[in-house]
Amino acid sequence: MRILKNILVAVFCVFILSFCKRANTTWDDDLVAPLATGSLTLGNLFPDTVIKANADSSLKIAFTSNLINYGLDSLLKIPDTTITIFFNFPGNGYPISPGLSIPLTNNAATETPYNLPSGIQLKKAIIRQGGIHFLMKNTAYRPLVYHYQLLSATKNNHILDTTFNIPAADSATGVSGPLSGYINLSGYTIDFSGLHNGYNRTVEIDSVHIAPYAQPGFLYVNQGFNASFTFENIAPEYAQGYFGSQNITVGPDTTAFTAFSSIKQGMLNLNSANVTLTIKNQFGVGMSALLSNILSINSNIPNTVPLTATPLNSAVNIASASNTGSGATTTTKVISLSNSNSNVKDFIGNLPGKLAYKLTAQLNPNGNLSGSNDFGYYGTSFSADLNMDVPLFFSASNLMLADTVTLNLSTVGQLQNINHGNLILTATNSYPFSINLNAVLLDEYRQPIDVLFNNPNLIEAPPLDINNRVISPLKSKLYVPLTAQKIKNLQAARYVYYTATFNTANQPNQVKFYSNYTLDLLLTADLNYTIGK
Amino acid sequence: MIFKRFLLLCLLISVNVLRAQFNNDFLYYEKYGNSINLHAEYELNSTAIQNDLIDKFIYGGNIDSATKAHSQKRLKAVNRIGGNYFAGATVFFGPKNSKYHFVAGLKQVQLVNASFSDDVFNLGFYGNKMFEGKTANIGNTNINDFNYQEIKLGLIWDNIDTTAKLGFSLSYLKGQSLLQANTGAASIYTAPDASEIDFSMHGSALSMSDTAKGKNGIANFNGNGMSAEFFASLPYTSALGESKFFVSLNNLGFIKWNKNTVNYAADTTYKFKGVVVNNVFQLNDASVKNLTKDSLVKNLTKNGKQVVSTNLPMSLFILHTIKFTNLFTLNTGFRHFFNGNYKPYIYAEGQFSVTKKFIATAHLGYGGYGKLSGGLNLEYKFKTVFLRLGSNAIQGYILPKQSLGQGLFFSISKKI
Repeated sequence: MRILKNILVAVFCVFILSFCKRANTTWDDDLVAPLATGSLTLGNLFPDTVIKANADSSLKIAFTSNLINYGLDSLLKIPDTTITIFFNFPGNGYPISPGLSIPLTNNAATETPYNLPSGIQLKKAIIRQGGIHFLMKNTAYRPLVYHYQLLSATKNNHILDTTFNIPAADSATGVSGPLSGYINLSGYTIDFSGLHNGYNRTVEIDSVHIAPYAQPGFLYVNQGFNASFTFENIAPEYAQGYFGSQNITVGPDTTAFTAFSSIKQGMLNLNSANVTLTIKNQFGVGMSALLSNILSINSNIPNTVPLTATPLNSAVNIASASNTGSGATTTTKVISLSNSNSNVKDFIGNLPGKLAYKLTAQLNPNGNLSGSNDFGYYGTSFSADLNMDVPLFFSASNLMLADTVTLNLSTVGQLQNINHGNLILTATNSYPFSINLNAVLLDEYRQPIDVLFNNPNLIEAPPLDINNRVISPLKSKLYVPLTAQKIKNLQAARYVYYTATFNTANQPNQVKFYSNYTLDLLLTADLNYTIGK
Repeated sequence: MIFKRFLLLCLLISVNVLRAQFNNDFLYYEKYGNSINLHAEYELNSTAIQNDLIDKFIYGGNIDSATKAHSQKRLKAVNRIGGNYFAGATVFFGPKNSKYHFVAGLKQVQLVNASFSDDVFNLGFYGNKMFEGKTANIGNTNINDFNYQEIKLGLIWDNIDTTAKLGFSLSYLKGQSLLQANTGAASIYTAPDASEIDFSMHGSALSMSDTAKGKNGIANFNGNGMSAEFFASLPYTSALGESKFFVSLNNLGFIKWNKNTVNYAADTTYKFKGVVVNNVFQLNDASVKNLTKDSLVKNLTKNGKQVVSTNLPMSLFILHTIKFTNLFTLNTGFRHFFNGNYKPYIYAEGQFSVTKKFIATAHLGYGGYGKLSGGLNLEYKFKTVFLRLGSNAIQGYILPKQSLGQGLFFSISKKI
C-alpha cells in the first residue's frame, strides 16, 4: 500500500505541475501586405477649387471668393425712435368721474416723425423683426384706460389697435405700476407717408380716459400720466422710398481666400490667369462703385501684391435691380482682368491666403430717378465676387503642403511583434513634379521625436518630352525602416507633421497639367514579425 | 493568429496533456479482469511536423529557423498531423463467477487532426513573403478538434462459448469545445509588390463552439452527445501457441453543439488592398486601426450562430496475440480512425516477460497520423497492482530533431 500511495502522490505532483505556466510558443514570419492605397491629386494642392479640363485635356482651376456682401440691414438702418405722451394737471382739485377723457390731443390723428440717416426718405416698410416697447405710469388716484391706434401699421387689413388699463396711483407712493409691455410688429406693413403723402412719418391716435369702473374723485396738481413708445430693433423685410444719395464705404477689410490654403510655402509662376470681378446689385437703387486697395496677402512668406488693373481705376455705374413684386432681379456688372490689363498673374501667383479690399459707392448718383421707388428686400445685397480661372500651366518651386494629423499607435500591440522590416511607400507619379516628402513624429507636447522616412525621401518627377509633357509615369519607393527605436518612437508619437514640397520638372519652364496625370500611392509592409508573442 | 490557433489546437498545446495508448478500456479487462484503472495517454504524430517543432508547442519557446527547416524538408503536397489525448478512470466489476460483468468510467477526451498542404505550412511558419508573385494553395485543409468529457456504462459477457468475450458500452458526452474547419478550394495570391493579397475561398466552412471568453473550459456545457463502444475477444489455440483476436469499435457517436456555436462560411474571392485613404495627408491612427483581421474576416465570410452536429472520428482496433512461450508473446495490430485524417496504422510488438513481475514490450508501427514509429512499454506488478508506463512513439524523446511522432501512456490498475 505504501508503494501505491507513493505512486499516487507522484501522479498528483505531475498533475499539479501540468498547470504551471509555460512559455509562449513563438516564431518569426516574413510578411508582406498592402496597408493603404490612395492617390495624390491636384485637389490636395488646391482643395477648395473646381478643377476643369480644357478641350486639349489640359486642366484649369476655378475658384470663387466673395469679397463684399452689403446687405439691406447695412443699407437701411432704422434707428430706435421713442415717442413720449404725458399729461400733468396744472390745477388742483379738479373733479373727475368714470369715462372722463383726459385732454391729450382731442383724440385726433397725429404724426410721428422718424429721423432716418443719409437722406433716406422711407415710404413703406414690411417689418421682418422688431416692435414697440411701451412704458406707462399713472399718478392719478384713479385707473386709466389708454387706447392706442397706430393707423400706419396694418396687418391682414387691420390697423394696430390696442387698449391698456393703467392701474391707479398708489396713495402712498403717488405712482402706479409702471405698466410695460411689448407689441411685436413682425409682419406689419408700415406706411411711412404720414398724413400728407410725405415720408419717414407714421400716424397714430392716442386717447386716455378715466376707467369706466373708477370711483369719482379729484385730480390734484401735477397728477396725470406719462407714456413712452419705443420703436426698437426694426428690421424691414421690404423697404421702399428714396434711399438718398448716400455714400457707402466698406472696408478696408480682408476676406479669407482658401484656394491655396493647404500651401504653406513656395512660389507659383503662372503662365496666365483670368480673374473676373462680378459686382451684383440686388437693391432697387442705382450705384456708382469703386473697388480699390485690392491686395493679395500671403502671410506664410509673407508677401503682399496689390492688384493693379486698368478697369479698376475708375468707378463703375451699376443700374438698380428690378422689382418683381416678390423679389428683385439682379443687375450684374463684370470686370474682366487678364494678363493684358492687370498684374493678375502675379496677384494669384502670390498664393494669397487673404484678400484685402475697399469699396466706396454712391447711391442714386443721378438723384431720385425712381420717384421714391427705391427698394430693398431682406436677404438681398450689393456684392462683389472674385472669380479665378487659372490654367494649370505653371512652374512651381518649393511649393510646400503641410499639415499635422493625430497619430496614436500606443495601443497597437502588434507593433511590438515586429522584429525588423520596412514600411514602403510606392509612388507611381505621372505629374510633372517631384515631391520631397517628410514626416516628423511629434510627442504629446508636439515636440519632434523622430522622422518617419529614410533618405532619399523623394518622389521623383517622370521624364518629359520636348513639349514638357510627361512621357510615362515613374515609380519611386520611400522607406520607413522599422527598427526597434523607430517602433518605440512610433508608439510614443501622438502627432505627425507632414510636409510635401513640390517642384515642377524642367524648371524654369512652365508645364501644363493634363487630366490623365495621376499620382498613385501604395503603402505596404515588409516585416519580420514574431507570431505568438 | 488563426494559423497559430490552428496549430495550438492541432498539436495539443494544452499543458495538461498526459497519455496511454489506443484508448481501449476493454483491454484492461482483458488483462486484469475486475479492476480499477487510472489511465492517461497521448499521442502526437505527423507525416511532416517533427518533434522538435511539436515540442515547442508543448513546452513553449521560440521556433528557430533550423527547427522549421527540419519539418519543411519533409513536406509533401498533402500532409497530416494529429493527436489524441485521453485521461480517465475505468472500473470493471461484477460477481467473480458470473458470466456478466460491468464497466463504468469517466474520461477526458481530446481528438485533434488535420490535413494540410505544404503551402499552408510555409505560409504559417515562413509568412507570405516567399509567395510574392505566387499563389499559395491552402485548399483542402481540414481541421478537427473535439474536446469533451465522457461518462461510460457498459456490459461484458464472459465465456460466450468457453473463453470468448463480448462487451459494449454507452457513453454520455459533454461537449467542451469544437473547432472544425475545411477550407474547400482555397488559395492566397500575393502580388509581386505586395500591392494586393487575393483570397479565393470556395466551399470553405468553419465551426467553433461558444467563442465567448471563459466559455470553453472543462466546466462549460457547449454540447451533448452519445457514443457507443463494442468489443469482442476470441482466444484460440494454434500450433504457435495460445492466441487471441481482440476487436473493438470506439467513438461510434456524435455531439450536438449548442446554438452558440459560431459558423463561418466563405464562397468568395476578395482582393485585399489595404485601407483606401482619400486624403493621403490624413493617413492617421484611425486608418491604421481599420486594418483589423475582423474587417478581413467580415469581407471574406458570412457568419452566424446555430446548432451544429458533428460525428466523432470512429476508430476500429484489431489486435492479434500469440503467446509463443511464457517469456515471449507477439502482438500484431491494426487501428484506424475514420474521418480523422488518419491512415491505417499497423504494428507489431514483442512482449518479453523478463521476470514474473516485470514485462517489457517493444513496439514497431507504421501509419496513423505519421509514418514509422517505435516504442517501449514497461509493466511492473506489485501484488495486485499493475503499473504501466510506455510509449508507442519513443523516437520523439530520443531524437526529437530527426523524428516524427511522440506519445506516452501511463496506467495504474488494481485488481478487485
